[in-house]
Formats: sequence, C-alpha cells, structure tokens
Amino acid sequence: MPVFRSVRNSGIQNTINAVREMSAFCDQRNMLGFPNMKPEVTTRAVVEQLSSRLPSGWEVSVAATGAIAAEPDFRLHLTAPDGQSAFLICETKATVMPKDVPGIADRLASFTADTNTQGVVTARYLSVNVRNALVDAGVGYIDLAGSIRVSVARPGLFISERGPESDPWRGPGRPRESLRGEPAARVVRTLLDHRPPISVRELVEVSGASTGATYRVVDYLEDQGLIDRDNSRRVVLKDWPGLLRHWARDYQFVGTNNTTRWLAPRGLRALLTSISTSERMDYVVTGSLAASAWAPYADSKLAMVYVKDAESAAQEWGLRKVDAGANVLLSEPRFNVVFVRPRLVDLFASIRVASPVRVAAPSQVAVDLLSGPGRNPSEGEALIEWMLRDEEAWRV
Amino acid sequence: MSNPLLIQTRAALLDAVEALGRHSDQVVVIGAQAVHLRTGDADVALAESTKDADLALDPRCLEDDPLIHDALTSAGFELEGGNPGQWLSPGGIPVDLLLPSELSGRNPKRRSVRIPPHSDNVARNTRGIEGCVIDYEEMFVPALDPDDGRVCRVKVAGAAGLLVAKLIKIGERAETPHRLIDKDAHDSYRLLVATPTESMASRLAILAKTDISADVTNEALEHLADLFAEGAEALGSMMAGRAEEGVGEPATVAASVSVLAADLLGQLKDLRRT
Repeated sequence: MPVFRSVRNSGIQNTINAVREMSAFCDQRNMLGFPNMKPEVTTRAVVEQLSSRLPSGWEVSVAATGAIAAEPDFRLHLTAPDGQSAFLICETKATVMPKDVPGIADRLASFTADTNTQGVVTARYLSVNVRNALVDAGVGYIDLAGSIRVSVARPGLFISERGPESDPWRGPGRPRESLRGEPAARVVRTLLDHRPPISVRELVEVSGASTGATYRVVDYLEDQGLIDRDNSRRVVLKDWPGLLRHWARDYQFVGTNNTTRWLAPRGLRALLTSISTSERMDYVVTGSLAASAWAPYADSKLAMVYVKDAESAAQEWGLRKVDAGANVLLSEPRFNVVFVRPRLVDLFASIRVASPVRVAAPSQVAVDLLSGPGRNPSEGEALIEWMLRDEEAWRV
Repeated sequence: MSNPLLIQTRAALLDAVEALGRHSDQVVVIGAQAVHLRTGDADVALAESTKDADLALDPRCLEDDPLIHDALTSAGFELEGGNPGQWLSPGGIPVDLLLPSELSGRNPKRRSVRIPPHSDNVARNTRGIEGCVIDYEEMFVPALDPDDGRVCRVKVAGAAGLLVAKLIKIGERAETPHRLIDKDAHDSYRLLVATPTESMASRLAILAKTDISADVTNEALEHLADLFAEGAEALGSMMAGRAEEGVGEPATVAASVSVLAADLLGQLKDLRRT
C-alpha cells in the first residue's frame, strides 16, 4: 500500500532515531522563524527536513557519500515499516535556475534506474519556477526553507509540501530580480509582439529600454529558462505563453498602476460609444471588452481602460466616481508601454458599438486579464488560446 | 425571439388592436410591451418579459359605434370574471384596457369607468397613466411569430409617460411593501438608461404643464427624488438592482439608476429655471 502524505507547515511530529538529536535545533528554528544567517546545505540538514515529514514507522539514514564525480553527492536510505528499502539519490546545489533543470534531471536519471529510487535536488532554497520545472522533469526536491517533494513507487511513498514563495534568507538590500519594472515591461512586450529571433541591439532599439536594463532583463529571462540564444546570440523566445504568465505574476493592471473605480450609468456600450466618438486619443481599452474583439468569452461587465488622466477622461466620458457598483476601472499607467502598438478595433459584433475603439495590443490585454479580478484569468487563458491559433494576427 | 410568452403576448396585443377597429386610434400601447418597444436596444442584463398586453384608452375622441364591448367580444375576447377592463384574448392572454383616471369621469377609487354609450366595465379606471395619452408616438408594431406576418400601426406611449406611470405605481405600492414588484423599478431603470436625459426632461416638463397629466407627473417626480435619486440604497434603486440578482450586477444597476434619476431631476430644474 502506498502511503500518501501531503502536509503544509507541519511541525516536528515524528522523531526518528537516526536524527533524534537534530530535533531540538529544528523546533527552535521553527519557533524563531527563519534566522538571518543562511543555513548550509548539509546532509544532516536534509535528513532533518525529510525525517520530520516521514509517516510513522519510516526511517531514514545516510547511505553513502559520493567521493568521485561519477557518484551522486549522497544517498539516503529509507526503510518502510514492512522493512522494504528505497533510496533517494541526492544532488546538492548552491542555486538552481529553471534552465539548469534539464541537465540536473539527465544526471540524476543516470543513477536512478530502479523503481525504488528517486533523484532529488537538495538546496537551501528553490524558487516556485524551479520546483515546477523539477516536478515536470520527474525530479524530487528538498530545500531547507520547507519545500519538499519525494515520490517513490515501491515501497510507496509520496510527500509534498510547499515552502515560502520567496527566498526567506535573501538580504533586504539586494534588489529582487523580477519582471516588475518598466524596462521589463518594455522588453517583454517587445519580445511578445515581435517574431523571434531578435538581437539585443534591436531589442534595445524597439523596446526603448536602456542597454544596461535590457541586458539585465534578458539575463533574467535566460536564467528563468524563458528564452534561448541562437548561434548569432540573438534572443529566441521559447514559450511566449509561459513568458506572459510569468510576467503576470509581477505586473498587475490594478496593483502596478494608479487605478480608480467609476460608474458608467448607461452601461458599457454607451461608454464605448462615447469613447469612440470623443476626440481623446490618450487611452486604450483593455480587459475583457478588448479581448471580446478576438476571443469572445462571456458578456463583459467591467470596462478596464488605460488613460493618461483619469479625472479629465471620466468627465469627458460621463463617468461618476462611486464606492459601490463600479463598472469601469480607469488606470493611469506607471509605464507608457501599455499604449504601445494599439489597435483600432471594431467591437460591433461583440457589443454593438458602431465606431472603432482604441484597444491595447493583445499581449498587453492578455497580461492584464491574467492578473485581473474575477473570471479575468480564465478570459486571459481564452485569449492566449486565440493568440496560439492565430499568431499572424498579432505578432509583427 | 425564443420566448413563447413574448410571442403570444405580442399576438394578443395585435388581436386587440385589430378587434377595436376604428377605435384603435384611441388606444395607446402601455406597460411592459411599450417599455420594450421603447428600450429594445438598451444595454440591460435582464431579459424582456411580460405576461399580458396593456392598452390605455383615451375617451376624448371615442366614437359611439361600434360598442367596445361588442367589438371585442365578437373578435373572441372575454371579460375575465367580470372585472372592469380585464380581457382575455382568444389565445387566453390577459389584455388590460385601462382608462386614465383624470378622463374616467369617476372617482379614482372606483374601478369602473363612465364613458357612455360604452359600458362601464369595458375599461378599468387607472391613475398614473394620464401621461401616456399625451406622450406617445405611432409605431409599426410587428408580430414576433415568424409565421404571423401582421404589422400594426399603433400609438405607443413615450418614455416619459411610461416613467410617470411606473413611478406612480411604485409610489402607491410603497405604502404596502408586499405589493412592490422589483420589475417595476427595473423598468424605470430601463427607461432611464435608454432615453437621453435631455429628451426625457423636456417631455416630462410638457406633461407637468398639461392639465390632465400635471398632478400625476409632479407626484411621480417626487417619487423619483425619494425612491431613486436619493442614492443607491433608496428603495426604488435597491429594487431595480435586486431585479438583476443572478443575471446582472445589482450594485451597478442600483448606483446607475440613482445617478440617472438625479441627473434627470437636475435637468428638469434647469429647464424650469429658463
């Protein structure tokens, strides 16, 4: 009988002979939270992480330590209550990036031919992206921040626990690498909107980001395994939906920008009609209304519009500021890149607005939906489906 | 048009207009069907629905011949349970023939009317619909069944007359809350959404100055202020929102109807000042 165990934030419940002496330290660490000092990834620390989560009756011990390059770093020997054995083949890494995962998986695969063994990456901290990539590659992991995933077919054992989503030992002074800033938005939009490959120089030119910032974003994307370089060092975007979803974790229509809530008392069709007939050009419609031009989902109940000056636009379009019942979100963007490559779109088929409306580029609409409220994320996925089907229609 | 009841009620309306023959010039379509004819294009989540056909009868130019009773019964209509003005079409759909109280020759408390030589029970004495026999337009109203080729030319009440009628109804029933119907408030919202504020205001200003509709119009405007313009939490605004529960956005509807009501009252104030 396989034992399935999926736990979050479990304390130390099981003490196992081999590591009993570790427990006091472990309890103390859990009580105090994560100490500032970075722990070292020792075999003992890994054993401690694992043993505290093993079902009762299971035992863990260190089998043999690798001394030569052809050997793994260490092996853990697991004993099931019925006496059967399983082995975890462990490789310890200082840092792991998503792009490193295929290589690690290949190396571990060479040691794990039997059904009672699993390759496991051990590290101080593994990011969510890395953990997902490891799961996809069939590799287990144990990190010292509390993320663990071990799965052995026979004797049956499955342990899965999610640790923190960011590195608890990362110092406060160092800027977090992310796609949060304007250069990232500019570079990502350029990569999405243009057919690869593209040289970094072209990327600088088209995106409008500085050379240094562009290189930093490109390096980050490369580390995350989202882009490749071809023989001439040009950037090749491997998985654009993956890049969109990754970006949506760092960029939000509401969170990133200065967003206010409004009421269009005669409804969204009347609003779009007055938008489309007004002289104003410093706006783009995004969200589900925009997506309805390409991938109609369900009736839109909320208009999302980027506009340079919300107050004056609201006045021109007859919007009222409300606390409850808003059907319009106006967002003054932090980055002007949201206005780049807009479309003039006919929304007559979807909501019967007679004259065309300025709509954000599909890549911008998609990220706004993926990170938006309510059913927006599903609408974003539906838009990505359309974008996958019809790349000609939106990539330059 | 997939809703069979909408098809049947429209057919009953056309049956009645045809049956009234030469009197059909003296009737005006009111009620839900008129609201839908006036607001069909409105951006509103709640689907159109009705169970009957309502016609306002204007007795001022009504001829004696034929008798309304005879005209309707010979076309297969029946008076339902002897209640004044409550007819049943040959297809079994209720058709209400309503007469504005100001023109009924009777105290508004009485249900029957006095329009000899027509009998007292052909129409029901109804307060609030006075504006509908002043604010109307002729329209070509088609049958909704694809196999029914009829198109009738008939007067249809305007948005201002219909709004006054709805507001009087809600105002009267606000005294006895169990009789309140959310859909009446939602119809008011529908009329306000579909009609530009300026044209609604100028028509209401006319109704407020015309003898037979002045009283009900001024009373209706008071209800509009108290029950809607007061805010999204006012009784009428809340009812309009509640009508969309499960299909639309109640909070947005409640906020919208109160904003539109306040705008309308502001516009009327400006009109009266100039």
